[in-house]
Amino acid sequence: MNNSAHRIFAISFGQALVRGLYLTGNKIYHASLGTTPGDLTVALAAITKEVEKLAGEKVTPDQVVLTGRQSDLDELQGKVEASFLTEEKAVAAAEQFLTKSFGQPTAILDLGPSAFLDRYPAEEIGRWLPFVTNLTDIENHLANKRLFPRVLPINTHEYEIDLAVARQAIIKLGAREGKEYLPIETKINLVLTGGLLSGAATVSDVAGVVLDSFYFKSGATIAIDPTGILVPLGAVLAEVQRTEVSPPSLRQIGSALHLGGTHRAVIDFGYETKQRLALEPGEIVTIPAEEGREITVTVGGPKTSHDYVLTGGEGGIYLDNRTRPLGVVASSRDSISKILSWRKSLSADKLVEEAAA
Amino acid sequence: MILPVRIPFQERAVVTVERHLPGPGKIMVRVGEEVTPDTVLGEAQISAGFRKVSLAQTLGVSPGSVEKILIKKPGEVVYKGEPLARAKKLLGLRSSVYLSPAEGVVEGVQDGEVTIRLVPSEVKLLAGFNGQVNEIKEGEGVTIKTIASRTKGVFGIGRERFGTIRLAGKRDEFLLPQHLDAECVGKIVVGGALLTGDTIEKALAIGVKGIVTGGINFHETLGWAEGSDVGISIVVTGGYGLHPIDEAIYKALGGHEGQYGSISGGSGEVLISGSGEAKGKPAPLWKELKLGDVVRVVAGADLGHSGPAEKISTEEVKLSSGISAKVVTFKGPGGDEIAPWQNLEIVGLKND
Repeated sequence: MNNSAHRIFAISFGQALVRGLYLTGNKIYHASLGTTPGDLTVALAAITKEVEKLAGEKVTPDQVVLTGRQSDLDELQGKVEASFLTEEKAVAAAEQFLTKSFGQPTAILDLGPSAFLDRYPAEEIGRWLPFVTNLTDIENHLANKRLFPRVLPINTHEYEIDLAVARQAIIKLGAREGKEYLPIETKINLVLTGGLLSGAATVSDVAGVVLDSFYFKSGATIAIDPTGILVPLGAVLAEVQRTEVSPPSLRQIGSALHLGGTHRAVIDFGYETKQRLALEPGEIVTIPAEEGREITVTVGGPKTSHDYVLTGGEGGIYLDNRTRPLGVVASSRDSISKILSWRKSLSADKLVEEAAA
Repeated sequence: MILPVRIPFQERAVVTVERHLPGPGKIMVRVGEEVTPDTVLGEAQISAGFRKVSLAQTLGVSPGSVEKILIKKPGEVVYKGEPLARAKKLLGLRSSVYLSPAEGVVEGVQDGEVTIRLVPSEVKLLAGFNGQVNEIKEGEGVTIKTIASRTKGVFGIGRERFGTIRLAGKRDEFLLPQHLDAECVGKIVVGGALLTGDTIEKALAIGVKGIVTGGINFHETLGWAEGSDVGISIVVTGGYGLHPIDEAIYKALGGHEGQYGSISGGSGEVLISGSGEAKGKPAPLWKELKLGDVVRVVAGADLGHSGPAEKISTEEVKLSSGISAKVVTFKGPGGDEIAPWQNLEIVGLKND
């Protein structure tokens, strides 16, 4: 590939959208359109036209790099003149770039409609739903989504099923370690890309999925890639080492910390007095903290306390004091009641009292 | 916005049909040759495999004595109905004769079981359609260019099978075992909004070649691997769950009742041999949606709703789910409906 002119056009193929990102000089143009499985050349031509229109210049084949699932790349090999890069490599390059930009280890979770291509037992999906459900209907709905993964939920029931699939897709990653969640030991920035979570209706919906399916032992800041730019950006950065590229604009959701059943925490907002927080095992606490605000949460007694520095965001800071496994089952009145109460806490601020000096 | 195109029913479409020999053989037609449904395209020898007969158990003798009671010894040819073994009973006063269940060569005896290697049979590959030989793969198969009525389902299972079209049951009710009668044997049955497991079992038992149905529950398909065959070919026109067959498809297939056709689960198609001039142009796989194109919802609560597109939004609209998306307004049977473009396919082209 000829990178000397610093022009590079990355195209990433997802199940729902094909995204194009064109880097020319120091400018970035990007666009997205529907993918055309079965004949990806249709989407390829359309996205190229769209980006050329935005940039006001022609793209030549030696500037094009294609990324996506291996099966999609295989379909295009030999049909189009371009470089090919696996999605894993594009994501790794984007992670490296964000880690350097933010000065903290950053992981990208690309969770798009391709999650629907996997098979999940209906009971595993049904257990996350806050309503009584018919497992045959769930099975049929998921099977239809496997045929057409890009279909969007049109009502709240379908939306809840989508979020349940997102939970299971993450949990599946933890299953390799024999866990019912994905454990993360060290503090990280987690950036969510792909339509399943970045297109979620509310911030608390995203927080709910993340808290149920991950276990952040040292805390994590959570952000969303709203434009889905990260994978094509990673493809560009994997091809050319560009330090002057600005990090993309991310939607900061806040931070999450799993406490696993502790009884009290002290919160330091940086004011004169600290706040004491009484915690009930099994509850989730949402602390209001705007984007950029750092708070220190101290957990434990005077002898063995741990300090966690967490950064706020649109949703605030989420302290998850539930023990695992969460023990929810499909269509159980008790489980539904638990799920609804967790949902409520994700959007309700916890009252705190001043700690003694 | 670019949407997938699937025309559920096309009358007199130009299609290419691939006909494969079931095993190695020879092709007997040439490229450009006109064929009719009865034209023999080629012949193949198919090995029918082996048949094991448990003689020790059937004749009540010890496994070690089976070889001694064989009339036809290993290496010898045996015909169906010919005595294979004789066991003496009641001190030799009476004997039981076992007749060979198949034609083949006695392969050997092990643990009281006799193995018969079945004689390869010759199979003639018929064209099945009126048309012209387009391409030949020597020793493998033939492609025929033909005019046919084509029903394109959403998905299916099973290899290509042939039979005449037969309507059974209603388009919007369950397809039940009692809907399959003697008239359905050897035919491609059309009917039902939901195909149940016991109906599939009955169809297999009586020898139905294929079923075109509106819906099927996912759990009935659990044993179906992609590209596999379950002894019957099934094409589903709506999706998983209960979905009536579209009225237009049901009516169109009804118009072809009694005609010969093929059903293939792999391509999800039913082709009915036709003749005359082709109607319409071949549809693309994907196309830019135009107002007037007929769209259909492919999944979710509104699956199957369809109608001509009337408006395409330029701004995102908030759906009841809370998700925002650009939507298409289409004229459904009950009035105007909206759906995100991601949930649609084009099932009818404007000016068609």
